[in-house]
Amino acid sequence: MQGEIRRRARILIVDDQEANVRLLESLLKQAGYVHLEGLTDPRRVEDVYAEFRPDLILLDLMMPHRDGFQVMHALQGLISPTTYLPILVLTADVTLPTRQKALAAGAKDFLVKPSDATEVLLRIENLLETRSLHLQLQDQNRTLEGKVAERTRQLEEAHIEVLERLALAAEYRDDDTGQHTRRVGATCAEVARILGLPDDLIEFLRRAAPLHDVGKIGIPDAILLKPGRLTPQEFEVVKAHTTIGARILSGGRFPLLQLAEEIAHDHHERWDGTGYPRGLAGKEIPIEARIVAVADAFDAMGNDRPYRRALSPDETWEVLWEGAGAQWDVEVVEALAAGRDAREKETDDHRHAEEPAGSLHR
Amino acid sequence: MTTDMPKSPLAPFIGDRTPRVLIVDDEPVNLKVLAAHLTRWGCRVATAADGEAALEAARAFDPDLVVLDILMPGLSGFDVAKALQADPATRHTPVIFLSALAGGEAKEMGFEIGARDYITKPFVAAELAARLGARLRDRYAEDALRARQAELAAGLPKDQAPQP
Repeated sequence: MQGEIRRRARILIVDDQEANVRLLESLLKQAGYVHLEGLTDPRRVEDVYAEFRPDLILLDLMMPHRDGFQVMHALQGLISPTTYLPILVLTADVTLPTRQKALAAGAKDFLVKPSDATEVLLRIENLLETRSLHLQLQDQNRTLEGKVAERTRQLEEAHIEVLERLALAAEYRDDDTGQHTRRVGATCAEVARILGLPDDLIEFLRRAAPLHDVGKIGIPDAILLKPGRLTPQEFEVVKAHTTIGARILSGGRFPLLQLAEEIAHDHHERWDGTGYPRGLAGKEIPIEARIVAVADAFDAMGNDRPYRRALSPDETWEVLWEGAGAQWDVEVVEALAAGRDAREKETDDHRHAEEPAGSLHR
Repeated sequence: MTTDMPKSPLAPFIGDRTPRVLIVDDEPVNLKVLAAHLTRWGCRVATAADGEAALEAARAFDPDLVVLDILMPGLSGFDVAKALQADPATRHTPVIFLSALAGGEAKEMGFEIGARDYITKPFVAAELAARLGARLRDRYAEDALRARQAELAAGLPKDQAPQP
């Protein structure tokens, strides 16, 4: 253990007297230290520190150009406050204020020159052991921090996965792949990004939006899967999926669940105030619910439903533009359109870029 | 009216923390002088006049640092330091020897046992203060690292947390 520390320790000796440096070097070498660096010009200490990366510095106080205090001050900028880099001050100045000042300035220990060789070695070794303890603790903490981060990520993933399964359960009777809800989540995130919402909200929305119809769990098959038009009474039952969904998601401790609750409750509100369950209008409706209303309708129209066939893209956009300002928030529909345009341009550019120069169009 | 309290010589090292220091010495006069200094510097002080009492006080008082005499009847300071290190409750408590033994052998023994410093008697109060301050500063830095470690470990399932 002792030999090991000595073999590995890197010691920098800063003293303007060449003879002192030599003396300390030979003392340390005899004791089994291998990595030693002497410096007689204290003005170069920053460079040498950066290059040699010492575990301990033996520092003279009285030097021309730059005294030991100035050296410690200069090093302070280079050494992070959490690094335990021991500085052992060697001084011929026996006055007490100097010693006190040295310790307060960041030196870990000091010795009065000339010092007994045994004591020099003892104090160096003591400081190196303390450094090694600090490094070990810091190292363990870094490892732990990595583990905690990994663990947190896993918990988050598990959390999100369970929510995805819950959305899938709700959709299972009319969409057993969960593709619709996942696409709605992705579309919502894209629209939110174009609208300039904060990044963390965008991610929350991507995860919460798929749960908008979770209340369908409470709607009987006969109504949910009925081909063709619903009677007014049946429609009232279907409307309840908003409040049922919100109730299923209510009281959540996490922001994600709280957002999902809000979306489930308000995603059938209409811009003109004729929606349900509350009849909110315009910006009274939370932005997240306004986004989900558009993304949900957009995706539903493009796919087959028990009560109708899928609409073509042109037909879908016609319905959306017609409903913008009445059923839906115009800004949200415009953001969805902007996203589509950007994607089409990208595909176009990509296609052009892939065409070899001079190729013939056939 | 302002009261001009002289600033503690420990302040440059540890700010306004109140360190808990156990001092151990079989000589009542030494204990009295030391305790007076440390109290004036803002420490909370416990005293013990022999090794047995020191071990008891170390458990009951939970000091941040122990200032330990070596030559005492019964358990020596070396014995006490070894016992403190063997006890999980006190093994992180730093020890500073304060002894009339000025020879290299005693110092060697002291550091080998794991003392963080070795000061010879008679001591100069200001130097003792500076050395105490430096060692307390180390102790608090280590405490902070250990506290962070415990905090991190608390967030992990048992099989992934480090064993204390």
